Amino acid sequence: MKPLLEVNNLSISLKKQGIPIVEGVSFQLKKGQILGMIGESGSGKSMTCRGILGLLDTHRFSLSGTASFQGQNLFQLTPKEMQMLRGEKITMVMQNPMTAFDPVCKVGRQMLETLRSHRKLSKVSAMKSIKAELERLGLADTQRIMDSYPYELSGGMLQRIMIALALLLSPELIIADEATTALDVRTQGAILEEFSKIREAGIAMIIVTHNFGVLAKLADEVVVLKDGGIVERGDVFEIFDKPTQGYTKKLLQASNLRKEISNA
Amino acid sequence: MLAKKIMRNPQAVVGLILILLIFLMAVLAPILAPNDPNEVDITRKFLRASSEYPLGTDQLGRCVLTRLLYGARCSLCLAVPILVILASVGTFLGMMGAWIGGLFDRILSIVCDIFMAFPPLVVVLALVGMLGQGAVNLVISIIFSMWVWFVKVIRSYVLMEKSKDYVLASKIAGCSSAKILMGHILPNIFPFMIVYFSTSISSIILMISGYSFLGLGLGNDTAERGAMLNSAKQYLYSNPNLIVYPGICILLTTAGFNLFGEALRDIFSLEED
Amino acid sequence: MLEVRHITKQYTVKNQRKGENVFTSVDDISLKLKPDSSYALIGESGSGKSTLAMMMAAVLPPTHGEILMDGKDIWKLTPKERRRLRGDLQLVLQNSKGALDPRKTVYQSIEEPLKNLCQLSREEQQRTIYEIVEKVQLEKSLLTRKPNELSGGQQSRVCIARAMCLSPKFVIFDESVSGLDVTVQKKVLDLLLELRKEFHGTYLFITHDIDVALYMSDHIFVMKEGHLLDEVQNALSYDAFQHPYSRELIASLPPKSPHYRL
Repeated sequence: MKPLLEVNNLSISLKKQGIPIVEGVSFQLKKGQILGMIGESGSGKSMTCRGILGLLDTHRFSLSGTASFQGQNLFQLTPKEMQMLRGEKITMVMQNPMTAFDPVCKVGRQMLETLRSHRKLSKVSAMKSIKAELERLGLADTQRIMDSYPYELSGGMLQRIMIALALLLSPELIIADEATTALDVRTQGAILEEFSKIREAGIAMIIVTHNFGVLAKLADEVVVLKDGGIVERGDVFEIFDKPTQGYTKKLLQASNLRKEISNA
Repeated sequence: MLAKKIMRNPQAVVGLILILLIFLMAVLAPILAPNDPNEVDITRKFLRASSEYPLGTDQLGRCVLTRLLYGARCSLCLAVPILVILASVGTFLGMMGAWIGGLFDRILSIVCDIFMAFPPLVVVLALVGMLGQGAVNLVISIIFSMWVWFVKVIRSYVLMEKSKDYVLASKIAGCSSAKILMGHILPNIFPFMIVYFSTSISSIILMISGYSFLGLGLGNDTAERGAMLNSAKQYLYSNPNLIVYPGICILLTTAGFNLFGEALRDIFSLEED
Repeated sequence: MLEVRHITKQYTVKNQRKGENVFTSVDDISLKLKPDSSYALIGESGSGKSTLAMMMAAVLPPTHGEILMDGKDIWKLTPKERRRLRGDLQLVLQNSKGALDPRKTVYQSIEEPLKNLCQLSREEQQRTIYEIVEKVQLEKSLLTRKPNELSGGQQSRVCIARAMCLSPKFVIFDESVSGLDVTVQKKVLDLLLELRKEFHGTYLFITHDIDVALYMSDHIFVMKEGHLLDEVQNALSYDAFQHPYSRELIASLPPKSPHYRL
């Protein structure tokens, strides 16, 4: 089977200073698969995702390599085609949901506008599907949520709304960039539950995180990034059970605080 | 570091050069000027430009270039003290209001709102009408109509800074209120204050000239550009140059401070990123 | 001993639609911190844990209740006496980047509490700063840098150094490691454990991460919506928690390994 997304030798560098940020990153993603990208801040994991999605300012960054999605070369699309693709086939959930919403516009209206700009739906039926999706995600009080401004809702709630919106567009691929990093344990747990439901729906995901727990819960494949390059890749069980690289071991050890207590 | 950034910003450089030129004109006026600014000689009125009078003479036979050079003195000698007074009042009250808060701040805000409700021109008209024409009265009335803006602006800068975590952290580190205000908040809002002061000085200069032109400020006998404009307006058709020269001078002076201030604002906002 | 007695903090929220609203951030909390021991406090965002920390650190006055430090109510002291007390009572803030004055060098930032709270000669001051900088594992070359030239881990070390240079009796760490990478977080936590062995103070670690809490202490408080729900002594593993809310928090932790995936 052909992979859904194939990234080959992707490199990103700052144009002006010529500083490389991402160097020679390659990976494949099959339909319905979840790829975990883990690394410390500055390892280039977010930049890789943004590069693939064409979200980088081409005046500041230069890209090389290829990225093909369903056989289409992403780097050869016009900005308009890319924008359509971003809404319909690939959606993104970001770290800070607060900045993703317009602060002076009610949440419901923003969802409606986004949905209708990508799907030909009447207002009534769009509204219906939004409500159904929110309810499915465990947000019962839908009417109140739709009538609220972003600042009146908590970060966890906004993140869930972002995910609902991402799902409503029924994409082939969802990229979650540190989507649970800023959240409490309980909200993170709820959102991870949501993500595992997405997996059951056959949607592929790329999960960017620095938390191994998130990968343990969700990922099929894992790539470990350091300083813009991939240091280790493999099946999630292999990475957890038999990491080969010192860096991966170090990361795993640091993320498992509790283990050391029971040893001590 | 900052000096380098200023030098790399063409707008700031142009502004700075203009400001320096104006200060040079003011300081060196007695050396540069070919004639006495107040020497009246009716027989030599409306002369064309010559080596003795590089820009000609006005309706009373006074040298126009000399009067323009001394005009720079006049503008700066009034505008700088006004700015110093406004800046100190604004900084003191603005900081106090924002820092103490509570009832003091509320009363201060109400007073500011009352003052802001009157247009500056009305305040100046009333004050000059009461006190009479003259430099001191002009200074008093400009201060009277502008101080609230300085208080409001600086108060909002302090409020913005006060909510930042490092202020709380310095409190935990045992700093007294005075130490936090002078040692932490003031240095951090200083760049913004400089920007505001720089653009304000140009509006003060414009106000002085404007009121003098309207006959509310300095008398027509002083070498002030607004006053020069006022007396030249009757000769608009016969001798338009008498209006053009002081006009250009006013334009360049205010443009210098404005350009510099705006460029500084850009530089500082870039620094924030 | 730091003792919190029935402390409450209420805010009046003015809402244009609904009029005035009283919001209780911390509701009738009492707890005791014994000398030379370490504690942890778990709470989600909005649980009032930062508010509690600020009241205990004598920077935010409580609405009701009292906080006794060695028997004296810190909120009944004069502002000057309270300032003097900060030498023994320090709070390390959550946002270490924001907690440093952007225009001061690292040296100036660490020097500030010493200047304010200790009567030291210039040489002693300098020696103390060099000592503490070495203890928190910061390079000396960083002392002349400004905060925005430091990494997140370095910034939080500077904040820790700033509090620890006073060798205070009580230190409250409010989410001091959240937002750091796992490797950096581990290093900072280990550093704090070492510092505690050396300085023998009472530490209270406030966090939303149960793993961090368990790693740092075996006496753990659990807070939710302004209430203290659970207090666990000898907490060595998740099993020590009995309260349903604590269990809920533990249940929502992601698994430690893909083998435990449900």
